Amino acid sequence: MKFRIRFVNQVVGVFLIVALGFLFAILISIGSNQRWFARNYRYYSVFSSAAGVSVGLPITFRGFQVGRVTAVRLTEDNEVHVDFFIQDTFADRVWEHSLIQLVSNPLGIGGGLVFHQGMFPSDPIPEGSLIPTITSPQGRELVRSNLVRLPDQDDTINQLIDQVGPIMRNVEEITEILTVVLADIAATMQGTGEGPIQDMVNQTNRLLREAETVMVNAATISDNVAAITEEFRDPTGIVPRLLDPSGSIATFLDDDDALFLQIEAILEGMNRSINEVADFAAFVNAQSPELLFMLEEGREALSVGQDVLEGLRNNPLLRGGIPERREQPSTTRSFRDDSF
Amino acid sequence: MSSTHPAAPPASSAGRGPGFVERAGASVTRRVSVIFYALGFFIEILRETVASFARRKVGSRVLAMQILFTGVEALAVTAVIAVGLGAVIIVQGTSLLPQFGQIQLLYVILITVITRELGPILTAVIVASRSGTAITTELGNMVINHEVEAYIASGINPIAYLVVPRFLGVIISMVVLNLYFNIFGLLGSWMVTQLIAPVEFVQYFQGLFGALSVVDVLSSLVKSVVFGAIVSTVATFHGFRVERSSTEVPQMAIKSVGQGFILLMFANAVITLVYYL
Repeated sequence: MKFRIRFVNQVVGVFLIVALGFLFAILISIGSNQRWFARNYRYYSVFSSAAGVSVGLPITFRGFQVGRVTAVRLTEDNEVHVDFFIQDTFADRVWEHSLIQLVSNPLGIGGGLVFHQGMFPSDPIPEGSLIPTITSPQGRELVRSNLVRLPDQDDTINQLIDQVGPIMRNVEEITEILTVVLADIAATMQGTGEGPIQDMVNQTNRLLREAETVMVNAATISDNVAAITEEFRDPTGIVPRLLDPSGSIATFLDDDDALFLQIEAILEGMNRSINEVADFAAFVNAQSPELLFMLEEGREALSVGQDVLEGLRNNPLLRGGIPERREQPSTTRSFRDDSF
Repeated sequence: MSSTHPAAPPASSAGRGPGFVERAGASVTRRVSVIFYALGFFIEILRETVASFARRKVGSRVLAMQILFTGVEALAVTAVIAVGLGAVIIVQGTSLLPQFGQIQLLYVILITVITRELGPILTAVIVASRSGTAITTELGNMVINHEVEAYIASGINPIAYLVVPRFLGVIISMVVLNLYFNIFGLLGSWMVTQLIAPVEFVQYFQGLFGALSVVDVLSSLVKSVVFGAIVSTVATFHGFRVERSSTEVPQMAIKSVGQGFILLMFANAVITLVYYL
């Protein structure tokens, strides 16, 4: 027999007892966590509307839940009477001039009642007393008199709302800049502005004026072309006369090639001269090594002669030195030898 | 028990078959008769249950076996589903809710989903699928084997001996399994999420028990009792509807599961509506 079947009563007993144990533990935990046996201090407040207020709504103080709404009812005077309690562990913080504020979340979730402590420490106000709302005349007077401690709002939505201001300021600045830019554009269009766009407009105007001059010249040229064309059309004009078979050009060209032959003879003479120059240059090129050799020989002879002269000058035996040379006049005489 | 079923309407006296209106009327009449018969069966179960307690003669062995099969053996699958569901809620909640600055709503969502809504209905679905079909099949086979007739012949009320222990066993198992579902769903899922998105133990349970109210626990327990009664009644009813053929047994088991699910959803909606009224 299987273990479970054999000890079915024990297995089922453990199964049930453990479950019951957990059930009791859960109930005890709920009780201790929800303060079933703790004392609550009851107060009330008066609202103009029950919108956003409901039974069970938590009351928080600096983010901690300190109480809860227990009843909401409409009175004979059309006021919304809200009963709530403050937990005993926070009851000593309910000082004089404390306030209640209904906080709603723009997203529609969260929110609740926020407890604001009075500015100056005092004994807790008596149970069953009125704690005014921050929007009531009494509450506004307490805030105006600076008798309530109002912490800074630091939830996400408020942070977002706080950021709207700078964004709007930026938008305003951009709008102002756009206004200036549009005014500049308008002034530029009217020709009364300053700056690079105005310079561009001025340059464009100058270019247009110059283009106008060019166009005038072009018109003149066009007129000339038109006149020439007209001359072509005129059978008695100068162009037809020049081009006519009996005209000047035809007569000049129709000379039985005399002008052509003369030009050809000149060109042939020039060609011959150029060929002779080319032959002379080739001859000089062919004689260049011999000329170089002769020049080299001459240079060596001069060098040897210089050494001989140097030796003679330094020789003490030659007292008489070198006799003076007499110039032998040339037998031939040219006009260049004459002095003027 | 099959002898107590409503009789089929007589065939049409005309030579032709019955017309559409006649057939529709007969069908409605038959279904209404079955519903009244089932209501009478349920009242008989309640009466015999009270009488059994008065006589102090509940089939304790049958009851223990029923709790073993329905409760203990379904604990594993219940725990797995609960842990998975709770872990998913915590992971999704810790990733989505802080974006709206509403992380404290995680506990309300956990309580609403696990304790108040899905815990009881998922437990009931598990029990109906496992034990409902088993009860229908077992009782159907007993009818086919004339065991039920033997009980009646021996002077034993089959409802008192066969149905009441199963009725109580399923209800008790359902309540206990629902408790375990909550425990695994709330505690076990916290353990799982330590691997993914760690949450402080004290912070978690303070927030959880701050959001959990006795009404939530009572609502969950009431649902478990009602769902247990529905599953056991539907299962035993269809088990006794088997008449003579073994092929009827699986048919009745299927009907038991289908009708059980429909009644569970209907009852869940009604109880939830009553909770919010």
